[in-house]
Amino acid sequence: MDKIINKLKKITNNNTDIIYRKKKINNNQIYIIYSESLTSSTDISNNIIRSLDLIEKRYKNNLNLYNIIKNDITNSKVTEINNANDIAYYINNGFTIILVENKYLAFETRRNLSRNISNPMTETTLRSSTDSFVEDIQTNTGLIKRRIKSTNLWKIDTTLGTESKTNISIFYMNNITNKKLVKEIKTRIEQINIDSILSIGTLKNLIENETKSVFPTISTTERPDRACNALLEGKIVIVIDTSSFVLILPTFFNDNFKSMDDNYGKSLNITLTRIIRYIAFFITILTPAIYIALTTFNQDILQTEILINIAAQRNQVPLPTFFEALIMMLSFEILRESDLRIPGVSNSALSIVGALIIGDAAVSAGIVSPIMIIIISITAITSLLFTEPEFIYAIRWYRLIFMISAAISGLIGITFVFIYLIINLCNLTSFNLPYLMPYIPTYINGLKNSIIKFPTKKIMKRDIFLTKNINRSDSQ
Amino acid sequence: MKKIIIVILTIFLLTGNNDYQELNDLSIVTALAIDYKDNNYLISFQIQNPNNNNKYIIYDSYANTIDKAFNNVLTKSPNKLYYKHLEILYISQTIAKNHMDNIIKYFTENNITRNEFNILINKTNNISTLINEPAINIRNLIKTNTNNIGISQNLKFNDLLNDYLNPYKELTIPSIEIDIDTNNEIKLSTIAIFKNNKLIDYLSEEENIGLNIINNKLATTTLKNNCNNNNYYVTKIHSIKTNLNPDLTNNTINININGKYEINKLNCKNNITELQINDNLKSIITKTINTFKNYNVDTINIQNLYYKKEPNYFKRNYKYWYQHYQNTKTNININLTKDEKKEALGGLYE
Repeated sequence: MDKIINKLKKITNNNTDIIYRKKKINNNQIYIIYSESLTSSTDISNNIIRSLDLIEKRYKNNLNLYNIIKNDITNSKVTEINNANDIAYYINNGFTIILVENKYLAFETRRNLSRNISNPMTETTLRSSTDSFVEDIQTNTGLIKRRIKSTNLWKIDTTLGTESKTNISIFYMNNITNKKLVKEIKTRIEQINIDSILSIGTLKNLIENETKSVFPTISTTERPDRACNALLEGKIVIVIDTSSFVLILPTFFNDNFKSMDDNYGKSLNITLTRIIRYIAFFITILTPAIYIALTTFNQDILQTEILINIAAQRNQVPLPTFFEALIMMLSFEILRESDLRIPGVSNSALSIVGALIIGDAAVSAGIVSPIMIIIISITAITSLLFTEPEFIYAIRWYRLIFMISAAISGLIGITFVFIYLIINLCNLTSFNLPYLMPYIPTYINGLKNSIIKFPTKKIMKRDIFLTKNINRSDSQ
Repeated sequence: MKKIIIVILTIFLLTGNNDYQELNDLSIVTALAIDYKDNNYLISFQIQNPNNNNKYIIYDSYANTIDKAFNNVLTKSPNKLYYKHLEILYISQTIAKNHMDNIIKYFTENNITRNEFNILINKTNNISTLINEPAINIRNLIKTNTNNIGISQNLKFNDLLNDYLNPYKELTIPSIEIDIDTNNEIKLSTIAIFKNNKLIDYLSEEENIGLNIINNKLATTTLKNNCNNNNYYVTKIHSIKTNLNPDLTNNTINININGKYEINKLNCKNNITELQINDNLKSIITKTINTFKNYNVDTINIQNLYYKKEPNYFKRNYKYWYQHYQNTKTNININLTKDEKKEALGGLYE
């Protein structure tokens, strides 16, 4: 017994965090070992120590103390440890170890180290539910199971990271999700060999094979309802401990234009909203490029009155239009980036400075023209319609490429890059499924919930690319 | 990567689109006035002033050829002149009489403009007043006029070019004049008729309306008709649709005009029948056609209609058109109906 204690002390470098408590029960020496920072001291005193005292009083002639302790301690989760090398792992997971008769028992006495469930911070909606995932895998599992009570909600548990030993759960619907997809993801996760997975982003980058394109093929969400929605469509959700975001895969182009709010509105209203989102996508990606093309190459396309107005505004600006646009785009992106980093208290100061610099002073100083402010504002506002950051970054890339092509050869350049964008999107797959689904390949049932949304009663089929069990009405 | 390189290469090599020009380096020309004096072409340029939307910079330039005159302006202008937004081209009567070919050739061959600008004949030869008037105003003036009164014609360069290239068509170009009676205001004037691309004369306002009705280019117009003892009544005609049916064997053209009218009697207490109104319009149309016959110019393009209907027959029998033109018969059929919807109930006298 002392040998084990010494070994433990050696591998943990005699960590003062770990408490070794000696206790005698009717002349039998036992050890209670736990990590002070990971365990709840009330649980240990109330459940373990008190139970041990009761055992001492009740069993005077204890024949088999190991079995008595195993059965009589009033703790919900008990695990027998067969290998002495696992002790350290259990201690680091918040278990309390009892050493008795050279055998080991682990009792879960984990302290609650995560925060309470709070509102979503990044994916706000008007009327959808307002709970969000937290940093605890158990709570997150609970949030999913609370919504899907079916026994068909299966999960695969595993740990990743040789040092961090992060718990990972892969959720899927047994009767809906394509087994090939589950197998594919399982193998991709099994192939990972890394010291630590500290965030969901690391895992995302490790399992994402489609690295050539800037568009996201896996999306992250902090909304349990969105995760459950994805599960019921036949997608897979990966939850990891210590991350308040979960992964949804595969993700398609069309998913970026959907919101959980869409379930609340009438189908006609939602259709209009979706059309506006698609228009906003093209506006945000094309507006600066089209402005550059129209003012430097294709002036003849504009109406005379508009051209005269633009010419009057640009008259005082010394910079070429492309650089003017580039400078304004850059200053907006810097402003946005700094807005994300700085603490909330200085937010208003920043927005005042930003609005003054971008909006007013630059115009009066003659560095940019007022119409450029309008162009950049429209571009910036429309890009904020999308919640997935990866998608916004992708838009940013293409916006820049479009701007450069417009500066090189006007509208023809824009046309060429647009063709390239379409080719790129058609070529892209997310976990071997076409990214532009349901547009290409066209699938009627999928189109019912794409740029147009049919009434919910009429969307009774799932996507045939994701699952073979396509009937929503009777999915047993 | 290969794909990207191919895309970039195609942009550079295949499109030939590399005329980069910043707006700051351009002067937008909105109107041109061309005149011919003492063996020189005289061109006035109306250029948009970038510092003030309502003021214009005017340059004058002259030389013995049009090309030289266009180039000479660069000795005065600091920026490159940009003609794609030309709205109005004023040509003088001298040009219209003798140099139309040169003007049309210059604008088609050099391709410096869009084909969507209006052409007007400067009837009173007062270039300085015209060139100082905003070209966009004049453009809108023509548009409103053709839609509502019909004493002018919304003639774009493209239409002129089509007429010019068609051997069976005669040119018509609207004109503009300075109204000396009313403090030198600019006023749209009537259409000028051409024969063999040379200006002959201008139509009267009534003939102008008649021509526009025959060409199916008039939406609404107002006609003044005599009643009795200096009194008159006014008919407003709208939704006019004209059908021209040529009959080659009899050298006859059937003109069918359908439309609606509203009537404003004012002091006229006579009972005015539909027949009277139809006859009134018929007399206008007949008068117009007779005017063209007097000038011996086929402005309503009967030969073009004949040719379109039966080209071979036309070529065989009407080879020398103007020998047959005077014998052309017209059969005018007018069917104007009262627009009940717009009639005020009863009116003052009922």
